[in-house]
Amino acid sequence: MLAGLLIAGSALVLGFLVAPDAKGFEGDSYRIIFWHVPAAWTSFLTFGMLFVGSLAWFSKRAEWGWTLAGVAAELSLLFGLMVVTSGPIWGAAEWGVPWDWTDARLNTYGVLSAIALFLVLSRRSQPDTPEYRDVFCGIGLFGFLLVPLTYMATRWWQERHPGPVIGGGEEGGVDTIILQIWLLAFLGMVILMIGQTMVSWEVQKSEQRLAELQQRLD
Amino acid sequence: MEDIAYLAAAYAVMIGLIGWFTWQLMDRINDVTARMDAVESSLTNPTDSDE
Repeated sequence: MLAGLLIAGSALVLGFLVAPDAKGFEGDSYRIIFWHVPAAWTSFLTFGMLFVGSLAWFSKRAEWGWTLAGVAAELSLLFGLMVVTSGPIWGAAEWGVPWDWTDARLNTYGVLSAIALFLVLSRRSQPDTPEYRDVFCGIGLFGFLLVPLTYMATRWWQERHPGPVIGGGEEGGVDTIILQIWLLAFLGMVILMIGQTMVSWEVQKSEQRLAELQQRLD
Repeated sequence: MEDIAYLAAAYAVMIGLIGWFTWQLMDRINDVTARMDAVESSLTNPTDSDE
């Protein structure tokens, strides 16, 4: 976790000191992207983990799938919140408004983060029954459908959110230095996410085993 | 200057979120440890748990 933070932190410093001004954007506020974009990419990975875990629970009733889905929902909330809080701050600086309800990318990502929030809150408040697990994983599977939709939103219905810079055709493209710093920050966030997954996994397994033990004792 | 304020706010929020997540993870580890200690003590002193 610390290694991931250090790498992401060094990318942030490089983003301030080395990265040139971005074309099409005024001022320094665009430098929010050095964590905003890698956090969004990392959240897509965690929503992918949520999908795999939910599918494993649905198809095989696998305990590891249930644990993975719980860990992934928490991490999706973390990285989702990083994106939906930093994005509007940049929007306020660049566009003059923090949110645009007509922009598909903003709204699909907002729903995605709201799904992660619902899953985390419900898991803490609801009893652990097979029926609840089915509902949780059903929502987790549905949530993942929004990932490709969110990814493609700026290609299909671009309103206000900047268009794709990687794989975005001739109008896309990004300065090589900015891209390298992005990838470094992404590497740091993935390492951070893997570390958080390992710790969170052990905590969830311990909580489950302890709950079973207490049930047997009672 | 205003640009820097927006940047500072965005990064403060993102770093704060990572800190909050890590803190609540540590809190849960402490909670699990405390509950394990309670189970352990009820196993070693079964009469205490009946009271």
